[in-house]
Amino acid sequence: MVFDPITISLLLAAAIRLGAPMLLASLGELVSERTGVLNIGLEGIMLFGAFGAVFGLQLTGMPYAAVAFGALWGMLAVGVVAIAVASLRADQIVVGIGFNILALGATSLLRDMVLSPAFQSPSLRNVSSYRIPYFSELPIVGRAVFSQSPILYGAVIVAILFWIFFRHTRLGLIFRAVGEGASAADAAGISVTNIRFSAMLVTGIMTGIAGAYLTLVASGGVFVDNITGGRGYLAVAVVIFGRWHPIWVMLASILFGAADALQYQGQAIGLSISPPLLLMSPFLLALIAWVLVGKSKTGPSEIGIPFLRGQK
Amino acid sequence: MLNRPYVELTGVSKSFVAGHPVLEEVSLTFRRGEIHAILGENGAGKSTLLNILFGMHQPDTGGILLEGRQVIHTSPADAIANRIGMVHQHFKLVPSFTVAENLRLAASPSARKRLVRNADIEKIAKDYGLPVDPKAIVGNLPLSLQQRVEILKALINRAELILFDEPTTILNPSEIEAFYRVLRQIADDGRAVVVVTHHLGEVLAHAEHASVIRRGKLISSAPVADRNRGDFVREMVGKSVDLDMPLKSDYVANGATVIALKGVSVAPTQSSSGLNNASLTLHAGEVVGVAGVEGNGQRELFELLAGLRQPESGTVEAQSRHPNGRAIAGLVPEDRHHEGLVLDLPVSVNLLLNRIGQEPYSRHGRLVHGEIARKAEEMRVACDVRARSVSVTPRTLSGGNQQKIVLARALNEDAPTVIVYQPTRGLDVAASEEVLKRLRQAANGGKAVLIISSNLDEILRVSDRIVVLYAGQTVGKVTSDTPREIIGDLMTGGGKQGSVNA
Repeated sequence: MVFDPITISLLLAAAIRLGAPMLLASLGELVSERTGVLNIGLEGIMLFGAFGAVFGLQLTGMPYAAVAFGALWGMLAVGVVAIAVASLRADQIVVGIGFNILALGATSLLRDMVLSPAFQSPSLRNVSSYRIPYFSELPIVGRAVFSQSPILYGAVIVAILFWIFFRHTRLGLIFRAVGEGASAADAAGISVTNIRFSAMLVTGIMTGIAGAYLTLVASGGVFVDNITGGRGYLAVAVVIFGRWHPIWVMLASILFGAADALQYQGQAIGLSISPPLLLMSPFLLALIAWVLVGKSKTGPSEIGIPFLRGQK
Repeated sequence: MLNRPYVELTGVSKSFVAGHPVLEEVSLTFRRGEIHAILGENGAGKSTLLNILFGMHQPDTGGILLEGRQVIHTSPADAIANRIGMVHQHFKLVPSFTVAENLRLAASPSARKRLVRNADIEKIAKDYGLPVDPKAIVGNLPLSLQQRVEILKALINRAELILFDEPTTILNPSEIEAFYRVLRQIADDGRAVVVVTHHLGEVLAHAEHASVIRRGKLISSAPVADRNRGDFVREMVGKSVDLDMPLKSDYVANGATVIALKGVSVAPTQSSSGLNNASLTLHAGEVVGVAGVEGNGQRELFELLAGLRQPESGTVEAQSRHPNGRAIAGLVPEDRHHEGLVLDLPVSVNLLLNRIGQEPYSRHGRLVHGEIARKAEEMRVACDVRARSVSVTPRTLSGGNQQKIVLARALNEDAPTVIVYQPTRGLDVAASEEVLKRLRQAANGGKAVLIISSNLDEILRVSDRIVVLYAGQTVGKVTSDTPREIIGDLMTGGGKQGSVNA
C-alpha cells in the first residue's frame, strides 16, 4: 500500500465527500430517534429528495433552488410517513419498509415521465465545492476538509446546533423526554404527537437535502434509478454508531464515507482486494454497528414504540 | 374558607365501550385542607375519575366545577393550568433523566424561573419537606424517592388540588407513615388532597372524608369519623366479607416433608440482603407464611425454591424433581406481568404453559388445539376467571383475573408444593380473598403451600406456621396467635434468637 500525503489527502477528501449525504440524513434521523421514532423510510425519503433536486434544477436552472426543491420533496415525503407513524400510530418498521419500496418505484416512474434525458445541467461548481480562504491552502486537510461542498459546511454547523439544542434548550429537553418517557411528557402537558411530527419534518428536510447532495454534488446533476443505493439504511446505522450524539454521528459518517470511498480509491492506494468486496464494506460496518451498539443499549428507550395514552 | 367546595364533579359519566359505563352519574366535592379518600375495588372506576379530573379523559356527561365555575380539561395541560396536580400509580417520570430535568420538564412557564440552578431545586424541595438530590438519575432512585419527585412536580406548579392514584402500593409500612405525614402537611397548607386507594386501614387512620365507588356508581360520600371498617367493606364489595375471620384448617403437623432448605446462603446484592444460613421445612397439607420487609432475601428464597438458582452453600432437598434436577413446584411469581404471564398470548396457552409440550396437549411436536381449549375452558370455569373466552389475551383482563390464571396454572402443576410470592399485590379486597381461599383449599387438599409476602395481614390470616425473614436469616418461628408486635419486632431485626430451624 502507498501512503503519501497526496493519497491520504485524496482518501480523506473522498471519505468526507461520500460521508456527507450520510451525515445529512443521519443528523435528520437523529432528531426523529431522539423523540422515539425509528424512521426506516430514510432511504425512500432520500430518493425523493434526489429526484426533487434534479426536477428543481430542470425547472429553475439554479443549483441552490434545486437544493431547496430537494428539501421540500423530502419534507413532503416524510409527511406521508409521519401521518402514518405519528398521527395514526402505525408500526414504524412496516411503514418505513413499505415506503422505501414505494419510493423506488415512484421515483423511477417520475423520472421517466418528467425528467428530460436531453437536459443539460448548468454548472454545479457553486454547490459542489467552495475553497475556504487560507484554510484550503493547508497541507493535506486543505484539500480534504476545506475544499468541500458548502452543503457539507452547513451540515457541520447543523450538527453543532443540534448538539446545543439537545443539551441546552428547553425544546431539546422536551424532544428527549418524548423519546425517553412519552407518557411522562404527556402528563406534563406536552403533545407527543406534535413533537414527533415536527421531529420527522426536520428529518425529511435534512434527508431531502442529502438526496439533493447525491445528485447535485456527487453525480453532476443526473438522477439515476436507485441512486441512493442503500445510503438511507446506512444513515440509520450511522446514528446508532454515533450513539445518538450529533458530534459522534459526524465522525461516524466520515468513517462510513471512508468505507464507501474504498471502492473507488482502494486500487489507488494499492489495496489488493476485489472491488465487489470493497463495495460491501460500508454494509459490513453497519452490521458491526448494530451488533456492537446493540449489545450495550444506550438509545432512547421509547424508540419504535407508538404512543397511546393510558396503555398498560 | 375550609368548608367551601374547591373542586366539584357534577354527574360525571364515562364509557369507553358503548353500553359499558365505567362511571355513572358520579358527583363529588373536594375541599381545601381535607384528605379525601376514594375507595373501591379494582375496576370500580376510581382511576378513570382521577384521569377525568386531570384531563387525560373527557367525561361523556357532567363536568368539573372549580370554585363554582365550570372548567373543561381537554388535556393534562389544562388541568395543570387550573392548579391540579396528579401523582400517577405508574409514575410519569423519564427514568433516564435526572431529578432536575424531570422537574424542569414538568414545570409551567412561571415555575420554570425558580428552577434554573440545581441549588434552587434543592432548596425548594427542602422547603417543602421533600429533600431530593437534583443530580440523581430518577431510574436509579428507590420508588419512594421517585414518588417524592412526582409530588414535587405538582407542588412546583402550585397545584391546589393534588390527586394520588394508589400511592402506597409501592411503599413499605414506615414509608407509608411518612407519606401520610407529607399529605397532612400538604392539606394543612390549605390544599385539597384526593387519594384513591383500597387500603382501608390508611383511610381510617388518615383521611377526613371518604367516598366509595362500586362498578362506576357512587355508593357513599361522608366524613370518615362517622364510619367504621365494616361499613366500608360492605359498600366496596357489595356484600359482607369478614376480613378478620381466619382461613384456618385444623391441621396438625404430621404431613410428609416435601421441601427442606438446610443452611442455604446466597450472596447479598445492592437491593437485597441475600440469604444467610437460612433453613425452612415444608410439609404436605400446611400453609407456611414467610413474613418480612422486602429485600431481606425473599426473592432469593423464591428463586431457590423455584429451581431458578442454586444456593452458594447449604442444600435444597425436594421430594419431586424434574429429570434435569430442578425442583418441581407450582409457582406464582411476584411480577405477574413479566414473570407470571405472556400477556399477549391467549388465556388458554397461559393456563397450560407449564404442560403445553406434554401429551395430550401436544403430540409429535404438534399442538393439539382442541385439547388445549377444552382443558383451559375447564380450568377457567373452575377458577372463575372472568374472561369472555380462553382465546382472549390476559392483557385485556383485570389484575385479579390475571392472578387467577397464574394461580390456576400453579395449582394444576403436578407437584406437591405451591410457592406463591406476593400473591395479592395490587389486587382488591374480593380478589385477594379469592386467592387466599384457593391457597387454603390447596393445602386442605394435601399440597404444601408457601406464601412469601410483605403483607403481614394476609400471612396472619391464612398461615398455619409463620417464619420471619430478616437480613437473609430465618429468625423466628411464630404462629398466627403470636402478637403482631412481636412479629413486627422480628421483621425489623428486634428478635435476637438468631437462625432457627423452622
